Amino acid sequence: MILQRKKHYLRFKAFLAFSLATCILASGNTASALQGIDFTKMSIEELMEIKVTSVSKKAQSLSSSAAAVFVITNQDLKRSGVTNIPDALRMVPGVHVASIDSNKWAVTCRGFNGRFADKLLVLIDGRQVYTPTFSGVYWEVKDLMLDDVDRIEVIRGPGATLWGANAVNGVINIISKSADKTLGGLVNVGGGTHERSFAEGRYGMAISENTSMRVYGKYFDRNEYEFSTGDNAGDKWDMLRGGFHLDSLVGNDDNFSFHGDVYTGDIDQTFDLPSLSAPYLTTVEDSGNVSGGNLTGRWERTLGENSSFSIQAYYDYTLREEALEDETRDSFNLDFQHRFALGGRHDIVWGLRCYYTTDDFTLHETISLDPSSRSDDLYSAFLQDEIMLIPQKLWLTLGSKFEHNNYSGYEIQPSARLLWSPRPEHKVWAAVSRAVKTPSRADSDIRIIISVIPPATSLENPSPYPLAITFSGSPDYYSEEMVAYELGYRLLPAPSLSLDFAVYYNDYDDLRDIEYGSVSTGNMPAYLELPARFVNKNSGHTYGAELAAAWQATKQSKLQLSYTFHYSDIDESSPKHQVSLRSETNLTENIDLDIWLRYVDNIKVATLNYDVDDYITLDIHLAWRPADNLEVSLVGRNLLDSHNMQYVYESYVRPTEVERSAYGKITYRF
Amino acid sequence: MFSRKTANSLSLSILFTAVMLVLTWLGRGEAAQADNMAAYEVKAAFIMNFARFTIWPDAVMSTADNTVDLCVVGDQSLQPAFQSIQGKSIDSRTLDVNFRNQDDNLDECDILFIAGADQESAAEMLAEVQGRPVLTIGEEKDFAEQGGNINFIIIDGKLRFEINQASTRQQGLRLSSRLLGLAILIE
Repeated sequence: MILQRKKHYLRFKAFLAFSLATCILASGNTASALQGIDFTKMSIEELMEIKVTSVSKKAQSLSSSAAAVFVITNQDLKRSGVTNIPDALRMVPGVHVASIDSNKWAVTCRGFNGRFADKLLVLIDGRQVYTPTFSGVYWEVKDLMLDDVDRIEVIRGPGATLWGANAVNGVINIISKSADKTLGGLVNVGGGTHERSFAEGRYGMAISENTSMRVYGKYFDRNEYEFSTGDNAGDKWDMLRGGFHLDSLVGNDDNFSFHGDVYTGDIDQTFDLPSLSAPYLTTVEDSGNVSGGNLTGRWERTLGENSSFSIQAYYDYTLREEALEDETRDSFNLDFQHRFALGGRHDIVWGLRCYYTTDDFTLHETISLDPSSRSDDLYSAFLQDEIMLIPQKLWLTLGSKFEHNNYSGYEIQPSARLLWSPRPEHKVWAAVSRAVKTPSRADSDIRIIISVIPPATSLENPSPYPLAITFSGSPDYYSEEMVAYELGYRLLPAPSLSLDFAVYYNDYDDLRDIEYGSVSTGNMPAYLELPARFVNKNSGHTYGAELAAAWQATKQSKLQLSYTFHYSDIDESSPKHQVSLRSETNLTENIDLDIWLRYVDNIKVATLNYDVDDYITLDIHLAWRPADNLEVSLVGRNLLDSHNMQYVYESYVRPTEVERSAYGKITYRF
Repeated sequence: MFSRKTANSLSLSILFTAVMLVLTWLGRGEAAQADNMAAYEVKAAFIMNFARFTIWPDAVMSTADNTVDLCVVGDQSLQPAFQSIQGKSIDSRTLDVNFRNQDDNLDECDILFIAGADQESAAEMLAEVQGRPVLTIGEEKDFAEQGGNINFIIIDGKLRFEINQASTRQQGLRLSSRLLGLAILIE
């Protein structure tokens, strides 16, 4: 008996050693994992054992799409030293990223920035991560293990035809690596001034020849910034998250993927909240709790040479408990997509989607929603045909999305795109599209007390009662509309140089405006109210130009430049000029030195009329690999200034400044 | 245009831009490459091996020039991947990699690799070199069935290759039995 047990134990040990060895071999054999390997020294038999992917096809199809596309690669994430998604987006032309405080960002594309910027569609592995509450993104809770991110595709301009409502000014598509590309262990630990401490770990294993899985966990603790007055801003925060990703190839034609994450975090923030009783303005040092989770399943089947379909379902849960609002939200989504070639010249994609979301708000004095709980569903269908007019030279893409939602009813969002490639290295494209921003829950149902003017204080309120200024949504609020005209040119003048130009003119209608009513005495004697409500009465236009250039100057060094020009006749919350210049240099085989310089022009925060100065700043990333599986890196961020202001929260939070910071990191792979 | 604070930073940033440019020129070490390049590096290594296992008619290889000319037709982005096999020896000759456009003259090619082309243009190129001693290699489905000599396919995430023996004979080429043994043979 004992002998048998021992035998079992030995067998288990052998199995363990074997699987570990397989893991290590498997990870070592992934072509992408070991770059710089000399394949020319391998025999055919050895070459046949190397795992390759067909990522190239996707990348190719992006470079030949008739849209302004920029891809942040895994390498860009590593070499820039960023620790979160919004900071990575600072390298993308056309995108404006501004830190509001330590745990809040304003991110937009081609104008209309703000904490509640609402014209961008953001997806993580096909899961929509903007909240229907205000059609914007709580960036502080959208995070991943950055080492496992394959790429971030940023499509500027309307992507509504394929992607759906809210893809008015752009689509950000965050795509993580499949599990077979993240085999083995990875640990990052580090800390510094702003990034006080962080630790993250991932382990990926091959469960069978065709099934791989990884699990990860991540924790960070970030320090507070200072108000522009020099006082501590009380905005430190920490976050713990973990998840898994499983990919399985069944036969040659079926791909299954399951993945999920859970997170919980404490977000500190200091609010100056208006109140209806004396002293009418209270400073609240809030410690908010944010948590959530999601689970996604996806099935992709290849039907033939030029035909495939996919079905994806996900569930997403979020919870926010903070001084401004308490919200829980459950969302379910089902997507179907089918692609096929027709008669050699047509490439057709069509799809169906249904989405259900239900929320529950606890009412606060400052912010309330009526009704406090609401469920909504959305159905949509799209059809797109890419027609090859002249083989390998000229393509026309026509398509439209048809959508029904509970707020604005039916929406049609068509687009027409033309791509001309006179030579493979030259691509010229033009597009006209219509996109809508459908009303958010807030647009329809919110009531916010913006400020309370104490009684008998000034000319503004000579009455003996407090005067509350309130903004309210309206059930009559309908969709904001845009028609976009775009033109682009991509060229490869030499194998080492790529250039990408895009210009656009966007014409907006039915944008949000605020219409003041007359002072109401309905809440007397508690307070007087000056109500204002959201109306679709604004219109305007924006235009701009963007350049992305990448130059592999030598085998060891690369320069990347982005330039953005943007003009709007109705909104100054995005800068007129932005420049990002990055250099990546391999000083030696084991030492990388990367420098990132950014210029951001001055802006004016819309609702506050607050001027934020332009700034220049600089990040440096230095990495040293003493051994193959070990990397030590040092990152300095915002180095040119001890502090700078990038944006101001539209209400309740005092202007906060980003600080110069540094952190060190050790990465170990096994 | 610039605020005073920014103007102060400007001189520092100009300095750092200069540093970047200097680093760009002086950088030494391992090249950093995009993920998807690796697949083409592997394909390039395969192609070098194919060349070593192919026997061209004597008439072709006895000409004065000492190179095996590989013509790569496809997106410019895959050029760096093929630098790794440039100048490698193929028996007593050296491999010379040429990048061609679809419409270019393919007369001087000993090997033609057609990357990512659609069936129609692949067929055009195959027709152009038909019956001549050019080893044709593709990577799209049905390339070998269409009359191409060797075609890359991915099975379970690994590269395999199909060989069309009949078409190879028509081109006047002979492939070693070792290569045929590893291939998926297409009628």
